[in-house]
Amino acid sequence: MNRNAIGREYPWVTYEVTREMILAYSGAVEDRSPYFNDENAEVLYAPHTLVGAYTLLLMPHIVSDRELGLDVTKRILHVHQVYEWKRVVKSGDVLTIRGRIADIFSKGEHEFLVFEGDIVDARGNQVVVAQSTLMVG
Amino acid sequence: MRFDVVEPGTEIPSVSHLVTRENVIKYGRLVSGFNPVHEDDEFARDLGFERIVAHGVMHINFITEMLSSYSGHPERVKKLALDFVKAVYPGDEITARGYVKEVERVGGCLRVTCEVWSENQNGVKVTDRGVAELELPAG
Repeated sequence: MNRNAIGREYPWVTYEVTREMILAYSGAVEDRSPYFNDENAEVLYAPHTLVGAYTLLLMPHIVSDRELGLDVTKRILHVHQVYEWKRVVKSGDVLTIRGRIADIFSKGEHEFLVFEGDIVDARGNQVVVAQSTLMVG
Repeated sequence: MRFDVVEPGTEIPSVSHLVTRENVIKYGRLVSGFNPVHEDDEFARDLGFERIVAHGVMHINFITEMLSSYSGHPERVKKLALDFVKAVYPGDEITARGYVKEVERVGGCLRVTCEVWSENQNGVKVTDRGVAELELPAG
């Protein structure tokens, strides 16, 4: 991968966290907490990893970034994850993901890509910071 | 819930889930399946895996579920950092585990640092070196 891509930012992605999205996500991860599953609740909370998972919405930008040179035909392993939650995400939140390449480095025969997602709400307040490290090769 | 007895060494009640092929595929389709290693057995085998692999973020939700249940409210879970150390496959039963490592009183709260990890049905860790931070109401 091209280390000149460190610091590169990708187009922001904005989406609304809907009740349907939360219920489908809770079902897929089998999180039975009533906070994340009560269909009659006025406001549903989102499982903690939902917003981190939705940073994958940026992956098409990263994969198609020829200057970065991430080869998706190679074995890509998610090896490290960090989350910092400023508050819990709720149904009705409109979130924007601001993603950037935080680091690219090599260790042995592997290359590592560190990607940071800064997730803010409609008021611009930080909601979650997610950092994912992928090992390639 | 009151947390008068939270002290270093306190064990957090574990959470277990069977990872199914159906849920791995469902999860991938929910969150933009850019990587066929989560859907295509042949593709996964070509890369050296036994079969399709569960998304890492999918099974670390078992850890956040454990922390959320223990703390009594999702708002009390503040941070998590961990390493993925082994692939998780459909058919694996994953158990999230943890214990309290440090407790610090900050204002009217307890800032609780926990060591967390998860393991498969053979007791082999699939995530490790996990550190989580909770903010609990002081007793």
